[in-house]
Amino acid sequence: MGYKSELEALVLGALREGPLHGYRIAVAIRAKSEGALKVGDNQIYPTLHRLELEELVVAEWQPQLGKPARKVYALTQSGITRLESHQKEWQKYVSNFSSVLGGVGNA
Amino acid sequence: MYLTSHPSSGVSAMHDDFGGDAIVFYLASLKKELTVFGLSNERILAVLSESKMHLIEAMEVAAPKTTLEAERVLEQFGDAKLLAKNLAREYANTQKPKRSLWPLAIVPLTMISIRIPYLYFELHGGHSFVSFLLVGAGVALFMFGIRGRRPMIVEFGVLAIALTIVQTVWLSATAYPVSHTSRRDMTYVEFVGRSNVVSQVEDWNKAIVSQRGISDTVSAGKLLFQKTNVRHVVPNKFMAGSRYLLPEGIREVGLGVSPKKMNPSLMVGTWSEAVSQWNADPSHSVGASADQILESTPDSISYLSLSIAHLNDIRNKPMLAQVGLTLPWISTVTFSSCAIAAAAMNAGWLFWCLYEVGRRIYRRRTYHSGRQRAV
Repeated sequence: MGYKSELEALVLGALREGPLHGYRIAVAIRAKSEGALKVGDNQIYPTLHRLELEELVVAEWQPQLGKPARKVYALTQSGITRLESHQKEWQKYVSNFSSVLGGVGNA
Repeated sequence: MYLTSHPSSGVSAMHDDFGGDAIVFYLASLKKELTVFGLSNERILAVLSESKMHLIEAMEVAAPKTTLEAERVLEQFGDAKLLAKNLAREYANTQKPKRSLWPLAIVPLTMISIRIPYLYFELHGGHSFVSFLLVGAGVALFMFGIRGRRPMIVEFGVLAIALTIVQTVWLSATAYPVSHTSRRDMTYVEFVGRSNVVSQVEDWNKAIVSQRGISDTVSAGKLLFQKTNVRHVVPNKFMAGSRYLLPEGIREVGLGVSPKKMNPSLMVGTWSEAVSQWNADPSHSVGASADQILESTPDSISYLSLSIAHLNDIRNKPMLAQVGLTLPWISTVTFSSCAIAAAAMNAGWLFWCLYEVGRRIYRRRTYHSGRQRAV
């Protein structure tokens, strides 16, 4: 997987458990990947906006009391399908890689 | 520490702590970069609102006590220019209609067109329709390159391979490859349809007879149009009506061109002009001189004879040998055509890149004039 689809997979994966806004998506990716994501938090936004244009996620502005509104993203059915595709692709990649390395992680 | 304005208001909020100041500074920088990269006002506002909310939450968690700590939060968020650049790229990439591959069809259509003899009629200023067709195809590819907004190299490579395979299969099934080697050791291949072998050999034999006839007539013409001769009755084969044919005119008549369709400069009206032209220096004669025609005739006859020999030879060789001759020639021609087409299309893309860079430079330089900031 290249950089673009890695970030796309991570963003879709972060939304797997429910709708989130940008900051929470970045935090979720950082927390779950144990800091493996080395790019700036703002790099999720180009991916999020593309996913929105491709209708893999839907976004909604949610007003907050005493704070600026925030844009919350949620997976669509197409987004779930794409996420499943990423999961399969990633498992195959890990399996192939582990077969060569001979270590743990064979899926 | 909240920036109390509505998201759609952009960067108007101010706050007196480190986080608030840093956010305002960052959003101002981001707004400039988004403007420079040409995002629409609507998208700029949306990105600014999202970024602002993101930074507010990040600052809340980090609760910076110094400027340095606030800068670390911004560092974690990432570079404003990179965000603007990647957003601009994603929006450009999602404009799918501009990424269509159908302009590639221009290449095979043009390649087919230039093989249709009927299209070689004169259109304007001595140029054939095909010449205009090639220029038009180049211009079209250039325009599609501008519209496509991306480089296309691999696509043309795949197209060249596909066209090579299709043509090789097709020609191997329907034609014999006949190789020719010119005097300058350049080899090229002509394809003779399998169903046209007999008529093609007849045509070549007729052409050999014509070449010999031209040579004999020109030799006779050299003796006839000598300066020491006085005007006397001139055989019809040197005349086109009441005009005298020059050596190149003799050759054209020998090749089957009607004097009515011939360039008028290949015939003259008076005996003295005819003698003068027939004996003129080759660099001053109209068309090829008599000596040049006599010199080139053996080569022409040799070329035609070898064509017949090569055709007979290749017909008796196995299919693999025929493909071995077809494939290199077809691949060379096809890859060259695709390379030229790729150059035209990518020139369009390059033009668009330069235009975009120019626009970004202009927007960056004029940003502070106020016009670009009116978001």
